[in-house]
Amino acid sequence: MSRFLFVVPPLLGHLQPARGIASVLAARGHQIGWVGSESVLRPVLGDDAVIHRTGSRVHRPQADSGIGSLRSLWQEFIVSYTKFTRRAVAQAVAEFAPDVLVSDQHTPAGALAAYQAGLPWATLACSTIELTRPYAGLPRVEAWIAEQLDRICAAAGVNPAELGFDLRCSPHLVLWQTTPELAGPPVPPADGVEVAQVRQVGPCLGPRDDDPPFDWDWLDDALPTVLLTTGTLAAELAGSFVERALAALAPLAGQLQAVLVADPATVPDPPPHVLVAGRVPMLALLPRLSAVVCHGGLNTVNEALWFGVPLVVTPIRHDQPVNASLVAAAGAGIRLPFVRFTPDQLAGAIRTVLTDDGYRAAARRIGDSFAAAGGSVAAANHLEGLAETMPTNREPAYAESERG
Amino acid sequence: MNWTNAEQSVLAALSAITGRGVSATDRLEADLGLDSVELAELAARLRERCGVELIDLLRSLTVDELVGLTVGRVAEFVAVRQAMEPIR
Repeated sequence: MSRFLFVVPPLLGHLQPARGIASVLAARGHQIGWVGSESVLRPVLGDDAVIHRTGSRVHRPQADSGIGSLRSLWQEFIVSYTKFTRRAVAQAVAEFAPDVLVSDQHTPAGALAAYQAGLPWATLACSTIELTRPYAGLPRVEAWIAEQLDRICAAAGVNPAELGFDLRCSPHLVLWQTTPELAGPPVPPADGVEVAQVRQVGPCLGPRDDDPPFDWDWLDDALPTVLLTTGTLAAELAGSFVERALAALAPLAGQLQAVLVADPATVPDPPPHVLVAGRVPMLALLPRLSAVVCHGGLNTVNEALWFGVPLVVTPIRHDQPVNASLVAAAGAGIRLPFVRFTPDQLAGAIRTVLTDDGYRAAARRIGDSFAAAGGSVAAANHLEGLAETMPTNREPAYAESERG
Repeated sequence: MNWTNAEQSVLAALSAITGRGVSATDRLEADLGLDSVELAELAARLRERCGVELIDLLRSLTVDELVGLTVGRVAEFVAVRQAMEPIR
């Protein structure tokens, strides 16, 4: 049996896949440890989880989009969070003594700790932004990202030139939450970065013990049900989305029912065909849904496609525009720009994905590719493989197979 | 083509892409919500209509400059590029 230490950011969309994989490993008798913000991790992982605390910082929801959000992702989250947690992560490695470390792609503190301890480690990629190279045409943007990575190394006393790998891609194993059918093959995040060790395992779904209750009797099976979610948006953005979503849904009364995931206090008097809920049991609800409207966070996109549900995606920031393009290119949904979409356009897009069977067929096709990729079980298999072939053993094995 | 014509071309291209009125002080990203797909469409329209390569401007900009890139700055780039061209 092996010991696996997961380094995760305080973001639910990144925590759920890690939890899916960890639950498979735990069921096979392995020991699991966590490093992160206990106030975020504990409610999701439960009382029995071994959590090494990094302390918490308030990360206010970001209101910017596009390259502006790239800038704040690195400056306000990745770089500062790495500085804030680096010592706690190194200490957790010393205390838990893992055989393998799993580091989220956006918590390089895990990558650095594994490197400095000489541990085999895996990157958990819960986003598409680092493996599709969306800024390939903008060399000064890529150079700026490289500067941020160098800053992270410098703060940890590591010479980036001696590192020998990119902090976003473990040289041992990268577990990417998608399949080639949706995202294509992995593209190196920078020139010269190895991606042969990237495994596209599909979405790593897992147990959801913390699911909220839901009013199942409210659903009328005679009508299609559409879920619209604001995700974890900054309040002013959420308000703009909710207002337009309600306007789009008004003329659709009688044709469908809608579950709107938003703060119920912001929608005091919804129309009868709209149910407003702060949270929903997503995986339980999805088999009953005919379409999902979201901003294109990879978890929501993955969960919808897993169940073959077509999407309308209104992307704002980070990898959402990439995900929206991938969904549209695969024929599994429609993308609408968040800043400008009108209620009429949203209503039209919802009608189209509900009535044109091509969207549902494409969503099913990608869902099938997810199931075939193996998800949490495949990821756990790869991690067990990594635990069995420690770096010291790998070299001779490789040389032997070379000789044939 | 002069400055006014360059600005009109850029405004027309962006109005067609976004389906709404556009002003020179609008930022492409924060105000118009232009994403990478639509930037590519803008580049194609400016190539066809004005004979300039928008990517030359985008490649030269830093992260901060890209975030603050306005319609007026794109128009200025188009006008300068066209002034540099030999008279056709």
